[in-house]
Formats: sequence, C-alpha cells, structure tokens
Amino acid sequence: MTVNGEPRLTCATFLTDYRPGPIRIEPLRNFPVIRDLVVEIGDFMRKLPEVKPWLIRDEDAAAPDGELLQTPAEMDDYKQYSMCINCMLCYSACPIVGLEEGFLGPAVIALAQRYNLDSRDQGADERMEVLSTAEGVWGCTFVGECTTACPKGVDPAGAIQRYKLTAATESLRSFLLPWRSA
Amino acid sequence: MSANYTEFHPRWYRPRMPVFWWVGRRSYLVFVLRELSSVFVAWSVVFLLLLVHAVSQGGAAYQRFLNLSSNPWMLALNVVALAFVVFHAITWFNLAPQAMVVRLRGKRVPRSVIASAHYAGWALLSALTAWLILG
Repeated sequence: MTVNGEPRLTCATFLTDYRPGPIRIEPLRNFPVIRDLVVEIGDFMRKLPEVKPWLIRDEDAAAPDGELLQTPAEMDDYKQYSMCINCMLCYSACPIVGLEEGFLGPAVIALAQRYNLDSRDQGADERMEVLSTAEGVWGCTFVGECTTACPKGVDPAGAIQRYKLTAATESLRSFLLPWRSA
Repeated sequence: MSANYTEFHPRWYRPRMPVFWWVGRRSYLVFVLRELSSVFVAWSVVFLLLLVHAVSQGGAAYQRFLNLSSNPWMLALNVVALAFVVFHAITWFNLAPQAMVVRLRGKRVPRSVIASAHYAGWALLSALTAWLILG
C-alpha cells in the first residue's frame, strides 16, 4: 500500500514509526482500484509469464547426468534478483508503469534477469524477444525509484540497465556477425 | 496500469497520472531534468558543429560565428546549456555503477571505483581539451 505517499509493505510497517501521525494510507499506485485499498493485479500476473521466469533447458540436449552444480560465485550472479517477493511496490514507485500501459515493469524484468544470469538456464534467447522491446527494457528511462522502493534489496533498475547493455551488444553482434546469430 | 482485459470492469477506479506528477518528489524531478538535459546536450553538439563549419569556411565566417556567440541571448542559452550538460554528466556518472558490472579476477569491482573511473576519465579528457586549446 501507499503510506504517506511512499510505497510500503504494510505488513512490515509499524504505526509507532509514524507517531504522532496523522497517517495517510492509500492503495498501491499505478493499479486499478477495485475497492478501498484493494487493487487489481491481473496486469502484472499476465506480464510475468511472458518473460518465462523459470529454468529453461535445451530440449535437444541430453538430460544432465545428476545434479546441475553451481559455484557460490555463479549463484551470487542472480541471487539478489531471486529475493523478489512480487510485492509490486516497484510498480507503484515507477512512473513509467503509470504512463505506459504496455511496459513490462521492474519486477518482471528483474525476474527475467534472475533466470538469464543463472548458469543452469539456457533460455536467454527466448526471453530476449520479449525483453529487448519498447515495452521491455527500452521502455525504462532509469528513474531508479523501483530500487529505492524494494523492501528486499533487489535492484530492478540495475537489472534493467545491465540487460540494456546485453541487448545492445547482442544487436551489434547480430549486425556485424549475422552468420553467428543465425 | 490498466490492462486490456479490464475494460469490462468500468467500475474499477483508475487514477490518472497528473500532468505534473514529477513535481512533488525530488527523485522524479531530478529524473525529468535529466531527460530535459538531453535537449541541451543536443544543442551543444549542434553548436560545436556550427563552430566547425564556421572554421572550415574561413576567417570571415568564423568572425560571424564569434559575433553570434557573443550575443547576450546566445551567451545566456549556452550558460544554461553548460549547466544542463554538467548536470547530465554528473547524474549519469552517478548512475553508471548501477548499470555496469565489471569483474576483475572473478571479483566485482566496487561501485565507487567505477564512478571514480568515470570522473577521472572526464577530468583527463577535459584537461587534454584545455591543453589543446589553451596550450
């Protein structure tokens, strides 16, 4: 919800911190309001699976012989993005979400990066079709408020900017070396 | 955020973003000013190209360019443009460490080092340009 104009996890917000008041409680911003403080989150739920936020493995490749091992350094690459709890405070903080209906939004892109940066995942190319678009990372203008609002220390703004670099590099590579991306 | 499929629920309240949504919050204001600064960055490039063009056309054209540049309106515009370009550079350099992940020998280079490298590069290029022009 929005507490005194700031997106907050109200289950972890204490009245005592707002003494002596008054406190203004509002529904999450940038979402349609069903009633009172209840917002409609269907749009987020529809956008989330578009980036395939799950481990994708090559279907043609042989099944791994045993577990897919990962070093601590490899896990550190994506761990912070896996801390996202889908609270949507970043959507409430992001003005682009309010201005551009189609924008995928911070959490969805951060969750896509969570899997893109996972050493076990092989689905980065599939996600790029959705992410490297005007509704994806290129819709973001780097306001940075999503990262400020996140109660779990995830850095969606950083994830989006990193992905912009990845997408730009990939575009340049496919332009200069078309036979490699074919 | 009003998804297409919610159009059959007209009773849901959809607050509109006010035109001046960016005024009430410092971070939003800084963001909008940074976006606006791009116009002045573009103007600086145009001004530089006009200078290069004037130089290539000879002494008389260069003198006309100098006269145009010393016009009070042009001076005022360029002072504002300089302020916005500096603002653009500083805010961008401060954001750069968030966008860049550099690894050296398997370890992530600290954000402060990346920001410092940007500022050092800026200072070095500015000094080099000053040396070329004034030296």
